[in-house]
Amino acid sequence: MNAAFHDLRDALVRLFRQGADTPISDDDFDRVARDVFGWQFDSNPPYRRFCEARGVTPATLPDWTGIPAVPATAFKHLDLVSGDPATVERTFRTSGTTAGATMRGRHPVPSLDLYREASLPGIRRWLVPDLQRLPVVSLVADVSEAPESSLATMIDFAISEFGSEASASFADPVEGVRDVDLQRHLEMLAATGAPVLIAGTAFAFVLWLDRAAAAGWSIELPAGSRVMETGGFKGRSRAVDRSELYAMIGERLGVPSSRIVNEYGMTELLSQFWEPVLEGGPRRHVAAPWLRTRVVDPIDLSPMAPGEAGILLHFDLANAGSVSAVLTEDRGILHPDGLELLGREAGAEPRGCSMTMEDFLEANRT
Amino acid sequence: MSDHGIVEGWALPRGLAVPEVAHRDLGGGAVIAWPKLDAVAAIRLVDRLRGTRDALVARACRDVAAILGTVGARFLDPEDPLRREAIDAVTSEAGVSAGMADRIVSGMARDWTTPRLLRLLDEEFGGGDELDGFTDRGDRVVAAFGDAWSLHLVSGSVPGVAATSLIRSLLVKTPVLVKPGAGDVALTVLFARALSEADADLSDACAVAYWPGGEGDAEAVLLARADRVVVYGGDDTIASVRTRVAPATRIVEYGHRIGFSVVGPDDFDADALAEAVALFDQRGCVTTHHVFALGSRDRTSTVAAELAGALERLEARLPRGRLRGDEVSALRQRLETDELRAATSDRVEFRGGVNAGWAVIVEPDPGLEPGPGGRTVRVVTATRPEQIPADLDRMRLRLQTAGYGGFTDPVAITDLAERLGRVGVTRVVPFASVAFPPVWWLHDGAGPLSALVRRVELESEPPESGGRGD
Repeated sequence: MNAAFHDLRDALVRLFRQGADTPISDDDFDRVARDVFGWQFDSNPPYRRFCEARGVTPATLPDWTGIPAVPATAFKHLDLVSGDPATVERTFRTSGTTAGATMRGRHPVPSLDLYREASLPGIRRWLVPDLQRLPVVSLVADVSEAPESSLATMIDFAISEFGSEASASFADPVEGVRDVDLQRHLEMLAATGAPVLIAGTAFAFVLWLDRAAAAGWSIELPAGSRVMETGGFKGRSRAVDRSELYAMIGERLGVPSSRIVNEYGMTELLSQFWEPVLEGGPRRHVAAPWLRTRVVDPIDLSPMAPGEAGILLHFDLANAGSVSAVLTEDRGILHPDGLELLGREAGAEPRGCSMTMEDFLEANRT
Repeated sequence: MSDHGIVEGWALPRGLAVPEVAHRDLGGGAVIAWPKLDAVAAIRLVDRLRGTRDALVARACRDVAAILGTVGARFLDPEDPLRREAIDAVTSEAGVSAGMADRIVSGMARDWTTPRLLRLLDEEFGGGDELDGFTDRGDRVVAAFGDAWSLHLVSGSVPGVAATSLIRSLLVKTPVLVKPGAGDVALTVLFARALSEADADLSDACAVAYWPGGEGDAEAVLLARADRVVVYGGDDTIASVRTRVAPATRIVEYGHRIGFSVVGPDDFDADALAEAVALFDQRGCVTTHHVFALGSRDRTSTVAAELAGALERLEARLPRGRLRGDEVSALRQRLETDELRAATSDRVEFRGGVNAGWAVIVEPDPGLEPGPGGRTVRVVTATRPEQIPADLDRMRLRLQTAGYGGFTDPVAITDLAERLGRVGVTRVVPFASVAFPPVWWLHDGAGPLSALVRRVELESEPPESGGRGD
């Protein structure tokens, strides 16, 4: 590993170890963001040219909000690594349910440690604030089977740090979840009376709980149990809205919606957003202080007024080994108590009779 | 359009009251007021249209063409306030620049004039006699009939398409209800209202009504009752219509298309190619999104540079219109990714950008695929014409217009057209003709009026002994 990156990583790890609830002042964030940008500018030639075309260099940068953001789509087409590509430890890939493998996003990660150190404080604060360890029951493939999945990797971190010996994955490549084994395991855990964490994608929960309902299976998990659900239903055969999903979880598992935490992560970012519901907070999304999100006008990227909807522009210090400033097409509103995620703009009528990329992707869906 | 920038989304036959009105915000300040037709109102409208058919059939089609042409000519007359109203409405509703709206109205209305409509009748029916009764064609006696009524769903169109569709239906003497797409409502309504001033009886045979696709009770009722449905739209729209019409209903489909151009080895008119890309702000089915440059990789770079210069000049003259936030957002994702790709690979070149109003990308993969719009064009190398069909193959069912230029050898053009036609292209034209096909064009490969009629043959002598049917 390059010495400059090594030092930068160590500084970031120290910062992350202060925990997700230790604020970072604007000045401190700006200072660290400049260091990260300086590294990325120096060691990522395409990104450097992209910045120079916008007249931005580390020397001329007024403050971190002026750091040029790359589009999230670029992760589908390029290896946006900062530093020597040979030092990449792992490349995460998006699941890519549309348009086949060539359109899958990929995120080269030179330091898995940085991902681990960026993820754990958020999990500690918003998912496991109250216990040293508990059984983590995962509906996501084990990381040994899905090393390119950033979600599987994060859950592996969670199990190693917070999981008891009864932690296990019950994912199945065909059925989604191994129902019988999973249900037996939960019955065994419930008998101990100690709380459990079940983590999975929203889609995996629906697949499993649909079948559980058909089979008439349900359980009352011990008080203090919690659920982490993540991801949407894009390209899936069955989509439900979140209130329906939470009702299913309540009915089948006995976990009330106040103990169901939505995690919002992107393969393109090494830090995550969490709903602070376990601490009685609202259904907004918050993140550790090293991930800052700005809501901007899609037309000119100027900041939106507080409370107004715009698109999300993330700056994640944990992305030091790739590019930290990432512009999405997702819309949201920044409230004093967190981010309201609105997803892509829907319902807008396409204009014209020229074939669109959406038509094309739809027709070629795998 | 009212003073408040609200487009009134209907023009109904006399005697039909405007029902309850709802509003739809198109973004950028354009709002459509649309009539909420319930099932009863929809059936009443269909009955009213059907009731006009006998009178319509009794008219001579050349007289119908003359009246429609008189109305159409008003949109070309600089002294007529209707033309100004149309240009303003298109500017506001379609979100194009005023200069572009002027070009669009002029380009579309050119084809709504009497001589052009008469030529359309000539091209398809040898003057139109068949539409007026049985005609002896020498080998057979035939007449052409339209329908009791038809429904034209023009979703996702460019301005002028719905009015053209309305004209086609009246020319074949079929009463019609036209639902224009968002962006094309005001111009269609203006045409229908001008028609009512010119000939109220003829205008009673047509109705225009916008509603957001899939909303309300009317659509299902209308689809179930239509003799013929003409649908313009994307895959979702067409698939949805197919499932909702009665099995015997005739459907004419104009799906979304992807256009491209081919630059030959000789000098070419880059400004004309730029117009093939940019007119209608690249939203037409005919629009060029992809350019094959015949020759070497260096030739491709030269073509891209010349095209970029032409698009920049055009932006000064006919600037790209207002894009919605979601459109800019999608465009930025795509173009800035291409900019980064160009910074990574010598095989990719990038010119323009989100704020330039256009973009030209030299792309190593020659395969045709849809672009992000916003006057974005990909330029690829075709070392030989024989290579192009393979690069089109994946899109063969979506092809329509191919522009060409840079050929001095007419044999080379015919050879190219042969190759393109075999894959799926239905129109091979010089760059300058790409944007505005004439009213008599073979729309997706067939005469647009022939697609709206049944031809009826009349035999006066019984077949001779030993003939068919034995």
